Amino acid sequence: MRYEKAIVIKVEGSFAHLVAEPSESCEHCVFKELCLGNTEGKLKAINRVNAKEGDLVEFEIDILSLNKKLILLSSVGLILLFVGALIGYYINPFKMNPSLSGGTFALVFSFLTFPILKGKRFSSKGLYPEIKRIIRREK
Amino acid sequence: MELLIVFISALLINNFVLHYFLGICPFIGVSNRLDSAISMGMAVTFVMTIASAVSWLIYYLILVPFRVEFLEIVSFILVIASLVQVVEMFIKKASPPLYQALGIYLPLITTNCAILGVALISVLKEYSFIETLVFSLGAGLGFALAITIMAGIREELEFADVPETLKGPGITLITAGILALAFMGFSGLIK
Repeated sequence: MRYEKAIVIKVEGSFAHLVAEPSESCEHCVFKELCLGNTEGKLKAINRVNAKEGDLVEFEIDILSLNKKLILLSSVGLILLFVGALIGYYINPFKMNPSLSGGTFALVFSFLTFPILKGKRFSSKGLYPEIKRIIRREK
Repeated sequence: MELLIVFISALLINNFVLHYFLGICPFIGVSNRLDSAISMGMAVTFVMTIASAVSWLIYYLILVPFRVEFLEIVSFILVIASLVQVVEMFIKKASPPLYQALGIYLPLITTNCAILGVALISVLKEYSFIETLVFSLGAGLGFALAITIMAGIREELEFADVPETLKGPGITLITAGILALAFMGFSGLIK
């Protein structure tokens, strides 16, 4: 688990849009400018503590769960890519250039990963960060 | 057997980070936490394998027949950049929270020179299509291995009594150098 601080900029139902404050873990990162400059640290989080606009909050990111999902996504993608390449190269169903056939099948198969994994596990609320407590209420 | 040698070679002996010194920027920048390092390693492996496959096809099916091989660097850069965009779009569509969490890694992959390096070296070594796939998988997993080991060491270093002058980039580069020396030990693995 990782805890970070942020300011609530908008509340939307059970979610809140936050602007994260650069944390200690960002301090020594060479990509700090790129990261914060690109997204301005904006993110969407589950709001169970009823935080309001302007509140300073602490939110939690379940890194372990995210890592598991990323590893699953990459592994399934790579396995499908190799299966596609081998089918296209060695079986060559359309009798074309084996490399072209392997490449086409590899790409099509690897992009099948996303619809295959597009289920509850990948769109569940569990992947969003969650606001854990309100540090300071906006007056 | 040939494919296994290509794989082991790219993974350990000619590790892209610790032998060719490619992809040093994310290697140093994203290796301060183990969890970020694993995420980065896996994302790089995935993109590296797909990018090499597409680059190989573009080289042998378009650049070579039209005798415009000199455009390889430009076309490979375009392939990598557009592939990352496509992967980004797919992840955004399939899982918005995962996209939010991975937001920073994907643009970093586009600027990772190890990915371009793998595509260029596989063409230079005249690998076949399947060899290119195995080579790029080995290179990607080699990157993931190197960045994960480095992150583990850096997390431990936070508790070590490092001299003030060496704190930060100094000790990180010394650690990377010792790690590269350690990986040199694998050079006798395959003759």
